[in-house]
Amino acid sequence: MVPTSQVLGLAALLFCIGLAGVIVRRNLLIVMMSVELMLNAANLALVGFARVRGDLEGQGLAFLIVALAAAEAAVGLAIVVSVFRSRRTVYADEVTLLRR
Amino acid sequence: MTLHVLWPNTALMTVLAGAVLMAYVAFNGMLLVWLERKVSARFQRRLGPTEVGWAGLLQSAADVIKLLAKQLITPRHVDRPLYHLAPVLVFVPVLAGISLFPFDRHLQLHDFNIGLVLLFALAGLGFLGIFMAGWGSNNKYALLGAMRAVAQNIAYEIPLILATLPVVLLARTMSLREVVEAQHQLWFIVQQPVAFAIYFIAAVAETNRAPFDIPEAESELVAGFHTEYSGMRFAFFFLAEYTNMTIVCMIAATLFLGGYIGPSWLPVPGWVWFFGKVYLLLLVMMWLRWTFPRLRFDQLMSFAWGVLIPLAIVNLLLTAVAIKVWR
Amino acid sequence: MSSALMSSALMSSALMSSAMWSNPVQWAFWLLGGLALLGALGTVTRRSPVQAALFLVLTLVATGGLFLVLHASFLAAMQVLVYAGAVMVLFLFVVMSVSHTEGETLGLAQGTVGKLIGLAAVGVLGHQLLRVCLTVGDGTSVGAALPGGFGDVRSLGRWIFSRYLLPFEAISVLLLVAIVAAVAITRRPPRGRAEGEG
Repeated sequence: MVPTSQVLGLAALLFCIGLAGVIVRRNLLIVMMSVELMLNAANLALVGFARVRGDLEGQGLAFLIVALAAAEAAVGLAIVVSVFRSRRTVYADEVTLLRR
Repeated sequence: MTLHVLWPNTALMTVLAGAVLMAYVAFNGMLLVWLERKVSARFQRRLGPTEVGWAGLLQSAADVIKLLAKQLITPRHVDRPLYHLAPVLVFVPVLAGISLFPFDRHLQLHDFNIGLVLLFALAGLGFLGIFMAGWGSNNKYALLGAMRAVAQNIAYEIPLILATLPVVLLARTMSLREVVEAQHQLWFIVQQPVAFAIYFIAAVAETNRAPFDIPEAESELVAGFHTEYSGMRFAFFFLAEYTNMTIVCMIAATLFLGGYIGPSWLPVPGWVWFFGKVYLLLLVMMWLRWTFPRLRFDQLMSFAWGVLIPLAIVNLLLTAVAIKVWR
Repeated sequence: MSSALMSSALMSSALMSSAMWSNPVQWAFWLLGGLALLGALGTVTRRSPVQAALFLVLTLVATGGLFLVLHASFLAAMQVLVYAGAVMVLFLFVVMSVSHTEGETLGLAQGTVGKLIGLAAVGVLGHQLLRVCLTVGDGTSVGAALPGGFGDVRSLGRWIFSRYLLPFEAISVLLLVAIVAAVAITRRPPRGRAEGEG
């Protein structure tokens, strides 16, 4: 028996940590990990809702999000790899071709 | 119901079972090392260990004592947390995995209704340990070995899982016990010989054994990802590797060979059948290792992606159609 | 940073209201939740991407445990299998082949103003989010009785292949597109004899 508010609060905290990571970090890989963190937090909230309502809807959605996250990671990492190949860096602020 | 995992009925029983399993893992590792040395020796027309104990049976025990007494060397440039954590992380999922099996009709710690998925999830965690060992060692051979191991494991995990799915379709369950119970009339290997072949080949590759032992190819990589490990830490990797072999053979025995089910007119207890099948499969794995030469990396990859995975997918589709038509 | 303080205050008030300290489920929740938070903080603060990735694995596995606590057993196994087993292995593989440089300088060295504004925004958002989250479920707890087999393969499978069939198929197409896209993006342009290396 866990109060609903605690589950949701934990999810919100995880989400915010992930968001802060996206904003503060420069390493593209870690930015992507932070995005995964945010998706994961959303999943936690959905599963929490499913538990509270005794309804599988949230779990079904979370299931789809897991697959979505895998797709996102595959494409995102492919982009990181190709950026690294052409620019020799994985730092977001060093990829400034358009600015020059 | 899922919380039985966290709070079992009798904590003492669980602790006891855990201790027994750990003892079994250690004993099994020693036995398999001895067996491998004997088998390889016979294949090369040698005798193998003969000095310590009857037929060299205590040779492994002597080796363990040697490994225990050895100095633990930590190289200077390693990434310490990763380096120290890796052997544990390789070993723990393996130990957890072996506790999931039904060794006999009433000899199982807890029957999860997603036992099969859980096994693969645990196997996935094991790769992380290998990766940490390779990266943390800060050694080019270790890193190359880890990279090869991870690439190979990803590639062969797919046919491995795809090959087990027809069995899930046939048995209509993912619980390991119920899969076994569904095989009273007929072992699934009879209905799914292709799936069994794919599973076994992929399993040999998953455990990084010859002819797929590219991650630790001695002639190229010294010892692969555990190059920088010595003493008991090395022993942990070794033990995890042999226990992994045992686990994939246990999965094969459970899914395809009827697990603890044997001919009912024989007065032999179920666990004897189970372990008999497991060790028979282990012998086949050793036989393969000492018969075939090592593949090249590109051959290995194209075999997985070009042959095993399409075959597994076709097999799965055919099984699904057949079940729909005939059931 | 301020959001953390605020949240801890709110959290503790939520704690006071729930006098459930003798409950093992509550303890498991706190343990796993703490691990998840620890892993999340490690992910965004470690300099080495490898260590960050391993902290993320900690978070993902702990979240899998939380799913188990919340009666989503199949999802818990999927979480560990897909996230920790596949996605993170992909991450680590890319980290291994991409970053031979050691760590970025952490902190606010570059783009200080922008980062501070961003962090402040996160703080505000986090504060609001937490406020809503901690009040929305006031009084309710996730301890209500559930139908048998809630969240196991059978029930979730039935749900996905009836209500969620169309999204499920769409996701599978999306995965295919993602695979093709990943291959297309990383393939080197055919330059003479150059053949892409996966």
